[in-house]
Amino acid sequence: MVCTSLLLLLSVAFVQAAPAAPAKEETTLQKLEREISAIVEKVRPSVVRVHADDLTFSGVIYTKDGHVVTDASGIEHAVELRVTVGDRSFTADRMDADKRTGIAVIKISAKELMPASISAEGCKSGTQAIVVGNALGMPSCSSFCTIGGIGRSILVRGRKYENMLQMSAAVLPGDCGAFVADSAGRLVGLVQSAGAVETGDEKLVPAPAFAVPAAWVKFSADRIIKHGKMVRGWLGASLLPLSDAARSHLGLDAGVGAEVARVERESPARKAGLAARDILVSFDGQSVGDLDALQWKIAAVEEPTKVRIVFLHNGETKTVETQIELDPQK
Amino acid sequence: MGCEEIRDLLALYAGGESYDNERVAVEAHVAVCAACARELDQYREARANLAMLREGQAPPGTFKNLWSGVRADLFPQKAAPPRLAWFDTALRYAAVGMVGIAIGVLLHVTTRRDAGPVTAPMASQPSVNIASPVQPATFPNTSRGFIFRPRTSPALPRVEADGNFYLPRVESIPAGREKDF
Repeated sequence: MVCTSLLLLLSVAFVQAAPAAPAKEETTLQKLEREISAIVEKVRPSVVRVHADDLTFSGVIYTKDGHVVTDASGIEHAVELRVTVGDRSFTADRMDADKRTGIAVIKISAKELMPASISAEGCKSGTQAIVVGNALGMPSCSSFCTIGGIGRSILVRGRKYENMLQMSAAVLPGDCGAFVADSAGRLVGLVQSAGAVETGDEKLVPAPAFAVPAAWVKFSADRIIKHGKMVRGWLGASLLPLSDAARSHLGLDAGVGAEVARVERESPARKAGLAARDILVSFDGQSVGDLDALQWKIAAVEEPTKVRIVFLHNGETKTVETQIELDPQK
Repeated sequence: MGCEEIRDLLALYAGGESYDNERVAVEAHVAVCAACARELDQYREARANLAMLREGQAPPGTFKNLWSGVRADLFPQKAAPPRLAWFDTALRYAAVGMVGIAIGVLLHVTTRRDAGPVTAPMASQPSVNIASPVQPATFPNTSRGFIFRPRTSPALPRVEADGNFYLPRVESIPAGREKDF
């Protein structure tokens, strides 16, 4: 009896002492998969299909009122515009397009729309992103990618686009206007182009995909919705950052000055007397140095505005008052 | 555009006098063509040197002497003995003939039909506009008249577009840090 009790006690002790079987832990890859799927599901309702005559590509719902942002070149010559949201199809009206950013706004009369959440922070080189579009006409195709660079300039259909995001995504025909989402499912860009680049010896080499950054998508869309047409300021000059050596030679402070590379005909810059090789020193009372900031400042102009500019012409300092005009969108 | 066309635009570009489309074409080209980039630098240098010239009064008789020198350089054949009349006539007929042949060759090249599909292995797949940003409406399917056809590259075959799915092609990535305002 005693032996039996001892054996029972020992058995119980052994069972209690035995380690519990470890719970099955989720691997890093599984977590990543789950989170990517969640982002795609979050973004999917905001992605639409745009039909411009016989072309099909992508767009993103921008407001609950039915404003859709998409690529300007896709709808440029379209006679009939339609937008498919899920399994619902609507006739769309063209509002306007910003030829500088390549963003167009079209409008549908629809309810229960899910507008995209726009990222305020933007993204940087190395940001992980997910593209959700309509590759080859297949609804809500997604592709995981890395933002490989920001502030790129590209040439598409003979027009230069600046400040573009460079992406490693497998972007396919039909993805033009697709949603580029960050890890929180917010819009960081709108797909614009991809494909091959022609080199100097007329050979084609593969090129990455490019997207318009969310800040410029928001700028163009807000302006078009507010004014019913694209309204932005225009100086009519191209500027280059100045090297430290050139600054030192010209006696300018560190970070101050930009070289005028080109002046457009009949532009405010030409009327102010700016010419190629001049050095723009000050604009509207502020030193010129950060060209991105200056680009935003000029673009933000909503009506013809007088500003004072200071520039060096043949080594002589000139101070001129000129009027920033509205961009003719040529 | 090729180097020859770009070189015609370089002087205008260097002087800031080119149109938007010309400027974009030049920037795209010089970003990848070292020879044209060098030539552009030379134009810029020449322009900078010219900018240093100042107005002033030339000595009397300068332009008269200059022009007589130029004439002598331009028309040295005036002093040479006259050629035979029949030889000049033959030259004229030969020139007219050459022009006729050139027009014929140009017409043949611009109006000929393609021998077959460029991308036979992909013919059974759904055709997509992967390479050409220009839609079929711009290139009507007719053999009449002058039809511009984009050149195909053996390295990366283009797929004939039916225009169903749209994605513009990146033509070039300019290397400069120039920004438009």
